[in-house]
Amino acid sequence: MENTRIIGVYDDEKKLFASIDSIQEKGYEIADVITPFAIEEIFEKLNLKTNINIAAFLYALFGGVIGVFLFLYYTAVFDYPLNIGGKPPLSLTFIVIIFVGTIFVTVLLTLLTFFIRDRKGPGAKEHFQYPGITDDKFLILIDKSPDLTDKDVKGINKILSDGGAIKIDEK
Amino acid sequence: MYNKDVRGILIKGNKSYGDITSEVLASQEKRAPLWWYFAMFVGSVMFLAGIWAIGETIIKGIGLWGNNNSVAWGWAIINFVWWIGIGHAGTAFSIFLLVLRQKWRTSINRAAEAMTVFAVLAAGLFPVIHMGRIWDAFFILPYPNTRGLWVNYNSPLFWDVVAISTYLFTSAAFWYLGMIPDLATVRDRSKSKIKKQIFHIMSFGWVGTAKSWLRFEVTALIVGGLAAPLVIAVHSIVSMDFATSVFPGWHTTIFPPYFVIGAIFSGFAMVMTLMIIIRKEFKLGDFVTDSHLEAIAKILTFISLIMGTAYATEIFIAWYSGVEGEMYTFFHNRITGDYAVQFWTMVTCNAIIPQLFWFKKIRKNLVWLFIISIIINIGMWFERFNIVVTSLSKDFLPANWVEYSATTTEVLIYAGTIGLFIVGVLLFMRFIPMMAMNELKMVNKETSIDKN
Repeated sequence: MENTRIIGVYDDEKKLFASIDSIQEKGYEIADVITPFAIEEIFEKLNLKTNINIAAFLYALFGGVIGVFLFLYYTAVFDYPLNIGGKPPLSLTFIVIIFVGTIFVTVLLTLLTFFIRDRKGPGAKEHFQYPGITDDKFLILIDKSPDLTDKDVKGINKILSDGGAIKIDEK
Repeated sequence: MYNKDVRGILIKGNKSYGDITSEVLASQEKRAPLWWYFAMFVGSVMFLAGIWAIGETIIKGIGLWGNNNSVAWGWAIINFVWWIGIGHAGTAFSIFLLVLRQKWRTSINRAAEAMTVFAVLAAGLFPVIHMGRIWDAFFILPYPNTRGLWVNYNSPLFWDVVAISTYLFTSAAFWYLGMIPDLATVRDRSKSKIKKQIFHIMSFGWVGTAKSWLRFEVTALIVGGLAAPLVIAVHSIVSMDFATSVFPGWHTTIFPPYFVIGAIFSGFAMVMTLMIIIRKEFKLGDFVTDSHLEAIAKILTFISLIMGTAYATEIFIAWYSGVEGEMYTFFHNRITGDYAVQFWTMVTCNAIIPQLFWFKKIRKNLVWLFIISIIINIGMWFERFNIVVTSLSKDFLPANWVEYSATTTEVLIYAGTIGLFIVGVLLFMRFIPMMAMNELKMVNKETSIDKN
C-alpha cells in the first residue's frame, strides 16, 4: 500500500522553487512535483533525466536507416529486381525512402516509448488527482513514510507554509 | 530572454494562469454562436456534395473527371497540391518556431496544427480516388502479395505515398501529443459525467508530474525536430512528381524549393485567415495580438518576394534555355495566350498584393489582413493551375492540344474537400482547446504586461 503523502499547494512557481530548495536543504526527499505546465528549473532541481533521446537515436539508426535499407534491399535487389530503364536495382533513389522511412519509424517508436514509459494511453487511470493541478496549482508531494517522526512532519509542514504554500494537505 | 519592448506583448490583460484556462475554454463551455451552426451547415452540405461526387466516380467510373485528354487528372492534381501546401503551414509554423524558440508560436500552433491535419486529409483523398477503383488503392503499398511483385521505388509517385502518409501520421501525432495536457485540463473542469469520461479517455491519464513533463518535452522536441525536415521533404517530393518528367514548364531544378516555399506561403496565409476568425469570433484578442498577426504578415511579405523571384527565374530560364517548347509554354501559353488571365492572377495575388504588407497601417488592419490572406490562397490555387494545365494542355503533339475545363464531378469533389476542411476546423474550434494552454502559461510571465 502506498504511503500517505504530505502535499504543499502553491499558486506561484517561484514560491514553489524556494520551497523545493528548502526541503532539499533539510535532507527530506521530494516524492514528486506536479505543475500545470513544463518548468525546466524543476527538472534541474529534482535532477530528473530521461533516455528517450538516446532511444530515439537508436530507433533512427537501427529501425530507420538500417531497417528500411534492408527492407528495400531485400525487396528490390534480392526478391524481385525490376529493370526500370536499365537503372541498377540498388539505386540512389533508396535514399529518399530511407530518409522518410527513418522519420516514420523513429516518430512511431519514440511515441510508443513515451506512452509505455509514462504509462499513458487511452483511458489510462490518473494515478493522482487534486483540484487545480491541470489549471493553476503547483504541488510538492512528500512521502509520509514510517521513518518520519512527528517532529519531521511538523518541520516539513513549516517549510511548506513558510515557503508560501496556500494550503497544506495529506492524501 | 524575451524583450517585450522590442517584440511586443504576447499575452495581454495581465492574466493569471486560471484566467488563461477560463478564457481559452470559454468557447467550449458556452453555447456555440449562431454563425458556427450556419458555417457547419454550409460545410456539411459541401462535404455531402463531395461524397456524392466521389460515389458517382466510383459507380460510373473515372471518366466522369473528363480525363480523356492530355490534362487528364488536372483538377485533382491542382487541388491535391493546393491542399498539401496549406497543410504544410501547421507543422512548419509549429516546429520551425519551436526549434527557433519563438515564443509567439504558443497562441497559434494548436490551430495551425489542426488545420494541417484536416488539409492533409483533404489532400490525401485525391490520390486515393483518382485511381478510380479505390478499393485497390492498397496496391501502391509494398507488401508481400500473390503476384510476388514489389512496388517501383524509383517512382516519385511512390515517394509521395510514403512521404504524405508519414507526414499525416507525424503531424497528427505531434498535434495530439501537444494536446494531451490540455485535454486533461478539460477533463478536470468538466461538470458533465459523459464529457468527463470522454476527456478521461482522450487525456491518456495525464496528471502533470515533473517526470511526465520532462518526457513530454523531450518527446515533443524529437517528434517536432523530425517533422521539420519532413516538411521540406514532402513538398520537394511532390514537386518531383512534376520535375522528373520532361514537360516544358515542369522539367526544372527550381521546383523543390519553389514548391516548399509556395506551400509555406499558402499555409501561413490560411493560418492568418483562421487566427483572425478565432480572435474576432471567440474574443481571444488578448492571446492573438496585433504582434502575432504582424509577425505572420512580415513573413508573408518576405515569402511573397521569394515567390516573385521564383516566377521571374522560371521565365528567365525558359528564355535562356532557348528550348522552343519552354519558350512557347511560358511566353505564349502563360504570359500571353489562353491562360494569361490565370497567370497574371497568380502573379498579382502572390507576388504583388502581399507587398502591401510593407505598410504598417495595412499590417495592423484586420480587414486588410483577412482579405489579403484569402487573396494569397486564391493566388496559390492559380499557381497550381498554371503549372498543371498550361504544361499539359499544349504538349509536344499539337494534335493533343485542348482547352481545359473541369467537369461538374471534379468541382463537386473539390467543394467536398473544402467542406471536409470547414467541418473539421469548426469541430476543432468547438470541442478542443483552440490554444495550447500549457504553453501559454509557460510564456505568460515572460511575455505579458507587468509580470516578471
